[in-house]
Amino acid sequence: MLYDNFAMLTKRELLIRIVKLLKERNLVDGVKYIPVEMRPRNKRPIKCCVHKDRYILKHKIISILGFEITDEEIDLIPLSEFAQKALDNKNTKENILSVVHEACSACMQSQYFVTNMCRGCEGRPCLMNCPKAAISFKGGKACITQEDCVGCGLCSKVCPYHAIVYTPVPCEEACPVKAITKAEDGTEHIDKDKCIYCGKCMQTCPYGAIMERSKIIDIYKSITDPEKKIIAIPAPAINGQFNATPGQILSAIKAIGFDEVVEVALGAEDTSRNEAAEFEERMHEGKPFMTTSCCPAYVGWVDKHAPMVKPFVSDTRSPMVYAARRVKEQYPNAEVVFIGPCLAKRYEAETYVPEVDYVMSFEELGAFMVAYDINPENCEEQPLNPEVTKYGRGYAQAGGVRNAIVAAVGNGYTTLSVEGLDKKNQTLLKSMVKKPEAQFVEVMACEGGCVNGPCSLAPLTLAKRQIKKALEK
Amino acid sequence: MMEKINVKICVGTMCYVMGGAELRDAIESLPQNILEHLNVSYSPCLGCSESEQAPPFIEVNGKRIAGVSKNSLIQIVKEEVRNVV
Repeated sequence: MLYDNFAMLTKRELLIRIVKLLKERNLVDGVKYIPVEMRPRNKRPIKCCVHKDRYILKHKIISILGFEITDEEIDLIPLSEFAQKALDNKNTKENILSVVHEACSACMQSQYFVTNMCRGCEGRPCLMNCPKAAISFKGGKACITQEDCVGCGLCSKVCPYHAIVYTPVPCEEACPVKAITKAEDGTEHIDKDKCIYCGKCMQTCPYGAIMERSKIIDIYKSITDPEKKIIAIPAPAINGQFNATPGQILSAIKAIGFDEVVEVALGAEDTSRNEAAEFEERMHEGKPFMTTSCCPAYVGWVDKHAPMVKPFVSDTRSPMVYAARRVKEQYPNAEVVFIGPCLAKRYEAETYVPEVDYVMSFEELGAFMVAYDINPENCEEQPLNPEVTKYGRGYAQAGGVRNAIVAAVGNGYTTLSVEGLDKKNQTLLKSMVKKPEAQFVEVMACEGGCVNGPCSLAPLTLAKRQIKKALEK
Repeated sequence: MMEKINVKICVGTMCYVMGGAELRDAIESLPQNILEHLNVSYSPCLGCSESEQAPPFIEVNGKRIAGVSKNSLIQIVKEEVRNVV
């Protein structure tokens, strides 16, 4: 899914251009040229005209600079002013995900819809099979009365000409918890009380209209501040993001200007140890089952949508927390940047983890690599920490936590790995409170685990292969 | 012996990030009867930073092609091979 999408490339190009300007110390002056350079007059516009295209880019840039795009007043403020503000102040805005309303195309409400392909045949199976009598014929063509339609899709299934189609709203369809819905004007809004920050809407929107709030300006400021010590902690999924070895990737990250790079996989070793101990203790107490807690989107889902599962979620902290703690113990004044493929980690870090100062996505890391002209393939091999085992690095993929726990507690327990929080898995998890399917349950909100996170850089096939290689070593 | 087609693939970070991550895999996964007509090489940069066109880039017999995808790369190469054989 990742690369078949120009909206995603637009976001990456914006990130690259912004980091390049930062590096040239020309952000305030240069930022206003980005929309014009990316959408020149001699190129075919994507929406109605270049002006609309540029206007959308302006709003996306504002979002990357760390501001919320809500009121109309931002039209009166030039981009350079936003850039100056971003450079002057630390970003403390609260919302992590927001809809760029200018880019949101306000897709038609999901519905079944009769197209021109309808030939008004004599058979009229749509009319005969509709359980709600929502279909009538006008001018020899079928017509659906939307007020009566319940969306069962039978008409579409039985039409011999495939004349009835379903028009989805991609973001709403992707959201597992119905947190994104239409306002009166048709644009989408995210309900913060429901959102679990899984990032599915952001990944799916074909207009790239849902943007995460970036911290790259603050991270850049810390990297270039000689007074500050700044330490990167990349998630285990990092090993799949480049055509390079784990040691090369670590030194590539360091080359951006971090003082130290510590694998989160090291923290994963702590998580495995504590989680295994907690699991054995709970089993000893006669608890029916325990689920993992390292996926923040899953934990968010439990908190907001499935409180009955809460007592069965482990209290062990995530690898990010333990890795950050280790760093802060060694360097109490250092700033810690978690680098990962995950949107929900931004939420986790800001809400529960004071040890982590910033969260950076793999896409943003890629933008830094481009702007700093670093190619991981050509970087020298940094020695890896021998404390990190293949189990710690294995957290990158679904099944990784389960493998680590089985390695620690032995084969005597039943285990299960749940990938993705679709309807079926949500029902499964909720039903486990009454009827547990296994004693140890690993839950990942992304199918395939972290390697398939919404802010990944490398396509899934490549990432999986690289991780496999990294684990074999 | 027929002359081989020179295919240069950019493996620079810009092209990697902007959608070219799988170009190397795509070319290496081609069947032998096509690969034998190719002279594949990799370059850290084909000069995209000065170009106004969009990455990722490849070069076929010295001609630069912009905005290549995994699928279009395979098509371009197969077309070239068909022209020689």
